[in-house]
Amino acid sequence: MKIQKLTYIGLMSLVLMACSPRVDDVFDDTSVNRLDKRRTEVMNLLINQPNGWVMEYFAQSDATSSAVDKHKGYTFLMEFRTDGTVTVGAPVDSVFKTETSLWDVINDNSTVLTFNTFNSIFHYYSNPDPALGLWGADGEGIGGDYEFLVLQYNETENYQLLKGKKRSCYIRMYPLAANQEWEGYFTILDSMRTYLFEEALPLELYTPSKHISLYNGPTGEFRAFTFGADTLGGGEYHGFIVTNKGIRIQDQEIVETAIGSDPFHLNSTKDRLVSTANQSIYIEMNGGTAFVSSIAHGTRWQADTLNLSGAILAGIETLNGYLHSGVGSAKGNKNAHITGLGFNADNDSLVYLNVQYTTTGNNTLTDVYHFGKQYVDGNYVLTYRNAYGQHNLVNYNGEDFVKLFNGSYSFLILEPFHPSKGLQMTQLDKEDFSITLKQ
Amino acid sequence: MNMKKFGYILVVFVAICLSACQETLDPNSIFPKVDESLDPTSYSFQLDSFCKKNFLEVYNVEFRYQMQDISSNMNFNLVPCTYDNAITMAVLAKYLWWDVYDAVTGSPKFLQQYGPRIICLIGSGGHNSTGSVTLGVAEGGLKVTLHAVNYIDPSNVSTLNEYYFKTMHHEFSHILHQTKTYPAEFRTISAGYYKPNGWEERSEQEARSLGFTGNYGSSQEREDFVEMIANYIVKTDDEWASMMSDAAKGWKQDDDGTLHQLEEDIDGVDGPAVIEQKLTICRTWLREDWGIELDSLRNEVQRRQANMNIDSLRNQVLTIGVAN
Repeated sequence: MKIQKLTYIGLMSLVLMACSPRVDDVFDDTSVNRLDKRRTEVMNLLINQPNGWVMEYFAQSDATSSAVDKHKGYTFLMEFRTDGTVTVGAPVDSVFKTETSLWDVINDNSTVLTFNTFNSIFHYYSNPDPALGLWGADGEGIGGDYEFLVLQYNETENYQLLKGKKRSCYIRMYPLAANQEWEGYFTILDSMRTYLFEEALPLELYTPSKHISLYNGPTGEFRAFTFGADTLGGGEYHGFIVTNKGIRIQDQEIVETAIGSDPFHLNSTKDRLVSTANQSIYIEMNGGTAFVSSIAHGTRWQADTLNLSGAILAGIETLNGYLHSGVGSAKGNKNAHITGLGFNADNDSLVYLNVQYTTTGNNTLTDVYHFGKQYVDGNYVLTYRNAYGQHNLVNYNGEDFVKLFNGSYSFLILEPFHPSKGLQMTQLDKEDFSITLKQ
Repeated sequence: MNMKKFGYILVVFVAICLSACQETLDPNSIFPKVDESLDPTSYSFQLDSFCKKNFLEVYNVEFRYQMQDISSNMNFNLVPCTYDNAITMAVLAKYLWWDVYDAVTGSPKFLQQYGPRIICLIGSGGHNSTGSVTLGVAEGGLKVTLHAVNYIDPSNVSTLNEYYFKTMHHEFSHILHQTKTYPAEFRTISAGYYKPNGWEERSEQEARSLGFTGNYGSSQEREDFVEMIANYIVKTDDEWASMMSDAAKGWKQDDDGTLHQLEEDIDGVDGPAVIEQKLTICRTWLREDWGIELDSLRNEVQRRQANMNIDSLRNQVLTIGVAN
């Protein structure tokens, strides 16, 4: 009986506990009101930019295959108005154009920015139809989005983050400076693009733990390899966008997951693109890579012979002496002398030293000497292999001169990102052994 | 207190507690009141006013030209239509669809009862993996989606017919047969000749020779049924006669797509007779199940197409007053 009473009392206690419906609210308002409030905030934010926004747009991402048009970034300028219109500005076939259409912020998958009537400048990147007409398309086109989830506003970097609803690409919108003329903004981007990518040579990406070579920069889609890897096949493909301050790579897993997709800005000396998230992560055009990559693709570098000094000049004077006086059966000529030095190659593994000379003062001959090359601790080591083809200078102890070039070299690009304007090649093993090379 | 009494008291107590637990619902909706009035300062005020007055208020139809991807087929990649083309499509839909049925049935009641509730405009085509392009979709008797609105060219009647007007009547016929199905007799006429997969490989002429109005109609019987109605409504007498002429001949298509007319029609089907037979069934079905004369419908559409003045139609929108 006692147990039964205790059971009843226990049951009553449970019932009384169940009658306590009060729990603290997680949110201070209903979901609908919060969505509406957020929608209003976003609309006001977009409208209240006096000179509009810069949208850094990516359509798709896929590191495993190349699709330049789908992966590279596109810039749009946008002005949102209270009457429901948005004007979009961007170059179309290299001519700056603007077009006005409708926009809205809707409560869909959270708060969504939508460009909901066709704008030929903007929807070009999401239009599945072919360029002309309706038929014969693959149904995807460039395959970008026109509806975007509105994510957080980054107060530190001052941008609104969006996410494409279908393709999930992250897109940033920065307020455009109030005094920036729209068409002029694209001139700035063009200048930056030219500055960084005018010379189609790889860039080098350095992080505390990685060294990655970035090829194909002029296309807008990097093909990335671990430095020194075989570049004949494979690699990863990462689209990027040129900004007014540098570049931003779409998929930053290439760098370090920790830095997200923060941009790289050109530094004050304009020789590096430095990550805004981590100063020890940067991109530059490496002189050595520029040298070996360019000669492997047929570029001929010629030494500025007027500015030679030290060991090279002494070597040339010694060789000129042999040419004047002759060596053994090799006859001398008072007009014979070295006229120039240069480098080229026709493959990835060798460097050819070209020594130009005249034997009579009228003719010009060239001897070719092969060097192996090796990358060691950030520098290239050249090792003499053999004379190739015509090599008359060998008869004048020319190989003694050629072997002066055995050694480890650093390469300095005299005008950053423009090695064709001049490359300083300095041998680290000898004092005063430096050559200025020009294409 | 004996246990029985204690038990009764307990039951009453529990009942009181439980009733005390009832929470009354807040009589105020959590949803904010929606202001349905249009903003006269909005850029789209004219078109929105036209759609509200001519579609929403009369037929309870939402004319959705500002695209939302969730209201489209997510398997397709699609883009919105231009605002300007939305104006053209809105006035054409009223002129060649809603007004036609009102005229033939004598009042808006027919479309109020059976018309779709949502019209969705899409700018691009719906590209299928087979290479064909979907021009329109009818869903559940409620929604009709019209694709390729960015390609409207009011000066090209043939394209207007093929892309849009025929699609309107095609999709609305789907809605009608989704409400009252078509006669079983129709199903037997071309049984064995439908080609659900690969209909695109048939030429229009080959399909006509087999008793269809075109290759899409030869894909399956329900498409055959609505294509029969839609083609009959929008094709001019000359176009219909040309189609029937194709149907009377024999055709052969090479692997490379080259089409040849044969000296004899060897497919074993009397194309024109089959088309006439199907048309008769459609005519009877519309008359007996819907009280609509197909030929009256066709005459009204043909008359309107012949007299269409697109600028005048668009002015219904563009002359609506806007705020200064």
